[in-house]
Amino acid sequence: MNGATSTAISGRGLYKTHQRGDTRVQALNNVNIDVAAGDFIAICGPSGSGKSSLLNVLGLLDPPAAGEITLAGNAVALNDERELEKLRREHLGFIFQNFNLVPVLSAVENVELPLYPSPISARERRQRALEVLHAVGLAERVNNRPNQLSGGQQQRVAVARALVRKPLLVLADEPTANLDGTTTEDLIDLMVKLTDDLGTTFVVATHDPRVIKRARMVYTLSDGVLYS
Amino acid sequence: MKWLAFAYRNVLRNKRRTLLSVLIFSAGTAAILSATGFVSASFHGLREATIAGQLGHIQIGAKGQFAGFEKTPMDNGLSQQQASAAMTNAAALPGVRFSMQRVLFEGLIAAGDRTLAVVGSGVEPEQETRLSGVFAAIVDGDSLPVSSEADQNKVIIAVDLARALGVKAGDRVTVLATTEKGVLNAIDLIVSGIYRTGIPELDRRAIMMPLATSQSLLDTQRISRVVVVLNDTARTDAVAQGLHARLTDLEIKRWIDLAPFYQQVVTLYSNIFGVLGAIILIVVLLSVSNAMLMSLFERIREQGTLRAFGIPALRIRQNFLLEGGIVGMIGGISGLLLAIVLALAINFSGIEMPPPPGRTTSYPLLIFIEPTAYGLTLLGMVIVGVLAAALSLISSRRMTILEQLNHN
Repeated sequence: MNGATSTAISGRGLYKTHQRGDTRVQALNNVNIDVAAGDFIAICGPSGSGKSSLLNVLGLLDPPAAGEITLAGNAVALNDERELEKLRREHLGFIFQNFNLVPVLSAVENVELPLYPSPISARERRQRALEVLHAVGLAERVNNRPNQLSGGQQQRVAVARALVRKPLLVLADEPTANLDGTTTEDLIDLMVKLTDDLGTTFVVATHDPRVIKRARMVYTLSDGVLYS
Repeated sequence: MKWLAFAYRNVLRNKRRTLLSVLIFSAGTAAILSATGFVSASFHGLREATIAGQLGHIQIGAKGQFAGFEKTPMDNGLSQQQASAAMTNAAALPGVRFSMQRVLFEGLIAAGDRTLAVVGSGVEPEQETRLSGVFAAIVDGDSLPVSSEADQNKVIIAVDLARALGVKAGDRVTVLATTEKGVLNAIDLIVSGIYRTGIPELDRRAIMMPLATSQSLLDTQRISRVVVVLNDTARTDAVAQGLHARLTDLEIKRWIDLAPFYQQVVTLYSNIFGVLGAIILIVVLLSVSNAMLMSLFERIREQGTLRAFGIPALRIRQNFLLEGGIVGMIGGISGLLLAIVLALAINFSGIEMPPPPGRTTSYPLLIFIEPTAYGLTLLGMVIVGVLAAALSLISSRRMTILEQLNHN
């Protein structure tokens, strides 16, 4: 599917509201976005501007109140949970601010997790996970558990986990928020390298200027409205 | 396999909590197995005591013999030919150890100026001893003469009856009974010994004498019943069927037909311990489901992450059930080992239990180790583990992926 279409994902007329106490917050207000395959996009904006909401909608984790999403050229049936599950499994990868690694599994086992539903042998699964860990520079730490890894290494494992299925699109929500300066730079270098070398598409929600500086395209969200 | 391995890792995630759950399962398993082992040993003891102490495995009599009413003594007795045919046919069946004859009668016993009603048996002492090593548990004097060459004018008297008569071993008594022709007959006998039956009613009324002596008393060549003894109680039904087919003109009764109290006791105790087992399982279920619920809440964000990567929610729930099953299995296996150790310790300790209702003798506390019970209990614990996990899933709210990912 990678590279089969020039647009990895696009959203048209996306609306999303959240209830915060007695107040209804317009998280997304008629958002239109196109993400080209192989792009590295940053979505920035202040806290509460709707960055995470947009990522969740594009990541098929949270359906929009209105609007349409096209993934790999096909309209997404937003009310079909099984279909969404399948699309996430086959086309999307996620990187979370808190890494969200499974503490009882080693680095390589964490990376293998998204491959569990795939009908492939244990050997192939392990091979693919090791390749990706090698690509993110963690070949020496594959058997370490998350608590034996630094924050930067954990986030690299999370990147490897997001990439192991060779997704069309990787969505990263504040991936550098819990990393120190050097580690942040390393992670950004890695994402850029993966975009250049493997054609991986990244959509990163961030307010980190170092990420914004390296992104090929930057969108700004303000009160739910997206500006390019 | 990958999901099983993942579930196993999750089971070991919080070792202290898992240990607590395993201990609960283990204690429940050991309690159930100890109770069932005790009941099983009690049933076995009661069954074998019933067979060895009185009934044998199978009894053969003429039609009407087991109805308990005879117009004249030995009216429903077996002729010598019938008795021989019964014993020959029984001996031809596989699993039959031996058979023997008995004469049953009612009469009076007199010593000095005291006369009391008795229930008498004419027996073959040698064969009766083969049936039960403790045939006629003698408390004073000697048992009946085993050799047919010895003086046959001997009688042994149950302990309370002897006390009521005021006789001891070596004393003379007169036994009176109606002959098969309806005439009153009496014989003088020497009290060979005093014995205890273990059953209060019989201790007050029972006497035993050699078979030939009882036939002489009743002036008959007949016997009341042929008692068939098997190598293994489990063969009872098969041998009874074989005898039914061969001896169509006679009545064949299994020991269980002649001991309705046994089935009543089994039913009563099975119900009591069934309820006890159910209570133990419910306590285990509720205790472990609480621990499982905590485990579930700790991993909500992780579940959201797995779902984000497209792993079906159903698969995640199934794995949680698998975790419950694994905890149940580990706890069940440790419980089995604990139960074995407990059973061996108790069995070798020689603890005596007080006499059961209707008995006057104590019995050793035994706990059987039965593979079937162990297998079923282990399976039950695995199921309870799965149910505990299911209970946790049911009692926790269904969340969206986003709610799970944002859960703290």
